[in-house]
Amino acid sequence: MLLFFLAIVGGVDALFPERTFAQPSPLEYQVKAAFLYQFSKFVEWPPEAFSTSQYTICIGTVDSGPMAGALQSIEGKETKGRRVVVKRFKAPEELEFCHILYISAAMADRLPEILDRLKGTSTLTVSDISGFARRGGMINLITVEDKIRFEINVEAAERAKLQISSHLLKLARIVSGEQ
Amino acid sequence: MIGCTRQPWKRANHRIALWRGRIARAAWTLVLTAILMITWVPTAAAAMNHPPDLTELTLEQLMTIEITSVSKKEEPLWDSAAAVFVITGEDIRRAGVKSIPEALRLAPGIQVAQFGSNRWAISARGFNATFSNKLLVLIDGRSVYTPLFAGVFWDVQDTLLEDVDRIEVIRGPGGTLWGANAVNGVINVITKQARATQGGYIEVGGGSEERGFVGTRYGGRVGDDLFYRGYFKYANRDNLVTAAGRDGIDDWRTYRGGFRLDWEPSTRDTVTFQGDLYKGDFGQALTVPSLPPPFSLTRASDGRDDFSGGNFLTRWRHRTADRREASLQFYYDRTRRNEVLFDETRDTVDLEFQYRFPLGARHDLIWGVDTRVTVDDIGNSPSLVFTPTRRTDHLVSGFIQDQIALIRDRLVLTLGSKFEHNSYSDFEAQPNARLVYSPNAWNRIWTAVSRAVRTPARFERDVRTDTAAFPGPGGMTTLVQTLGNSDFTSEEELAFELGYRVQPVEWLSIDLAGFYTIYDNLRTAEPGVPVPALSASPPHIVLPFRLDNRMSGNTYGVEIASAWHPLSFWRLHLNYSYLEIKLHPDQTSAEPTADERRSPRHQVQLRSLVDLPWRLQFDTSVFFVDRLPKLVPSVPSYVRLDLRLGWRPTQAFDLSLVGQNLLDNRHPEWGSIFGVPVQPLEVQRSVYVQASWRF
Repeated sequence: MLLFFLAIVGGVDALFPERTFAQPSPLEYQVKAAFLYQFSKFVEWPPEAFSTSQYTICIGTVDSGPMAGALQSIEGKETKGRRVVVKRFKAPEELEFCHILYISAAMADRLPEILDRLKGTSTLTVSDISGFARRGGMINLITVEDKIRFEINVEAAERAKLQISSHLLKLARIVSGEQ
Repeated sequence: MIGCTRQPWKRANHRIALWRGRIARAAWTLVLTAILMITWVPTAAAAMNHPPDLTELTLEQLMTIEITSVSKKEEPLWDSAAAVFVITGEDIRRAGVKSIPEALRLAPGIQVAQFGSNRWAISARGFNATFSNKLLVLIDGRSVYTPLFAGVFWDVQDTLLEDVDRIEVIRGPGGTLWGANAVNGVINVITKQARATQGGYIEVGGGSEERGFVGTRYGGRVGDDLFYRGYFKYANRDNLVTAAGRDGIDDWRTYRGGFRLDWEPSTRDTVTFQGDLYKGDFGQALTVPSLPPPFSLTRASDGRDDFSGGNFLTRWRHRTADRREASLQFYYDRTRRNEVLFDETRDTVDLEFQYRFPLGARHDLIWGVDTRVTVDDIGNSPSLVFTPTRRTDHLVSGFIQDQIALIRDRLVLTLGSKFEHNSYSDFEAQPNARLVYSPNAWNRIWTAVSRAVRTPARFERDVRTDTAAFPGPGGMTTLVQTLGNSDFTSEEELAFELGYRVQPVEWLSIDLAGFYTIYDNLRTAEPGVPVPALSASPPHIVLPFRLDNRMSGNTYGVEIASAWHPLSFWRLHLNYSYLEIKLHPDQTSAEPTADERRSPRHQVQLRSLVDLPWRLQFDTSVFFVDRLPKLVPSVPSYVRLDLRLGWRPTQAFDLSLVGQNLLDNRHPEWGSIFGVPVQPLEVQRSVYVQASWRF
């Protein structure tokens, strides 16, 4: 039995001598990245959000993890006449302004700190952390029966001067949060 | 590439010629699958490198894509410095298993031996026994092993499997976090949050062994903060059969209902209330010693044996912005069994507090205190007597653990210890040290040294049981009795573990663990001086065996778990475990070393999960379990084949056809142990259909 196993492992090893080549990220995150891109089409930012550059829109991640590779697929794409720029922040301390910020589940512990830092900016926050929209975030990606759905906290978005299109709201579950 | 894959296959082929029958057939399945896997990999790689351009899809289209992932990297367990395996709700559904003990067959290194329709001998890393005692089992944080014999009555540990989120199986000691009895492993059954089980669910099915079952659940919400669900299930299971092929009269029925309520009064607080009620009845036949010839007789349940019980648990969890977390948990559990040889009513209350906080940039501390009171009331029979019949035991424990980032994101050291005071062995300390090294995102190397104890069970202190009878000198019957010992103390363990996890590509992960364990003060039964019981009728001689701690031992082994996702619609899992046990009774001990081969030396599990067109699923599980030569009669090795064909025409409706143990009419998985009055029965082929509907 062990022999079969070794043969199989050995076979794989021979097929992939270099382990450092780009790893495709799991489908789940590729889909989530596509969601982030779609969100950029259905949200209106206040004009001052584009004061540094009219021509780009920034989509950022904190501790991107498996999202890192997936975001490559949307980098440079066009959305409402602007080009997508992807920024990856390793830790909350490094955060700079981005129009959309994806907060990975690994950051669940530091969520209050991250949301605190974003107060007063027009950042659309997106995360798959459970209960995110109710904990002061804006869009919570949730998995229901192996498919991705989302919850939106409209009040939190309005506080950040973001306007979410009715099309997006129709597809979402609306929740209210605190803070 | 072809050369390197063919060579081992040829060698393997030569070996297969030596095998016969079922094993050869199963082996061929393995080989063919291996070849298939290897030849399909380039296709898989091609498929993975060219995913469709998802960014061109609309939101509505994106919402229809099914995402299932085998990637372990996102799981917190990927970084754990312990031999952990997770059985997901999806694994349970697709394996077609209908109970928690059967689901444990999916984990590497766990020996699951069924010997009655409601009875299983389950252990990790050896020491399996009819009433095995070195495994801690928790359901949503509620400890379910019985202090009566430090084992688990598996027939009452159940819930609606549809609502199980995952079963975490930790092999090896987990005493620091989980406490006494977590010697050879911890089984942690975790149900889904009420938020994740919204809406209705009904399942109905039946077949040859699963005679009939119904399960239903409804989940809803009140406002934005309160989610709830309630469930009910009923199952009726057929007899197993004796070695002679006769009915085992052990068919059983269970009814069970429960609820869970999750309330989030603020963004920082979560409060959970949950509870279950259950009852059931079953039959059994036991072989007990008798004084007149033929010195043993079979006692069957007059009418039916039964069990009932319930539990209630509440937990409050509070998180603060600066990563501090406190949790307070209380549960009450009542369980009652009424069997041929004894009855037991047990009430347990448990209160636990845990607090976690970061200290500086490098330390993450967690400490907790726990107090438990368990009160029992035992009804004795002539051949199984507990003295006293009522007993109240207190357990107080505390633990502290510090996770230290020696090198940020690279090297994490965990130091901790549990301290416990119990009614039997007084004070126990269970420290451990664990180190995990993360050279990069796809490799983890971990090592651990831990001490754990198995505290005495009530059985080992308070029992008197008739073990065997045989004709003695002068025509007088000699009755062997096993006696508890008030000096019986804890069994001790010192374990060394080393593990490696690798995920070279997103669709392949391999998890290796090796262990070397030293045991001391293991349980033995020591003969005493024969005592004539001349005034008894009939007169006989009693040969007492007192339980003692006169054995040491060591075990070593490896466990390998691998998950492979060669194609988007095909997943494979291959697990292997190897185990060696050496026991050393003291020079003063009369104990044989039979325990050495009551756990299989080799175990292999191969599972294939395929999503076919037309919304069909075809799932195969093959299990190989090595022979158990030291049981009576000895149990030969066996190969078990389970198949499941699932059809999901719509998201709401599911139909499954499941076949289990398809390679033979029946086979034994467990045998008798001297002095244990249980007739092990044989597991039969089983076929059932199941329909489930969500609304």
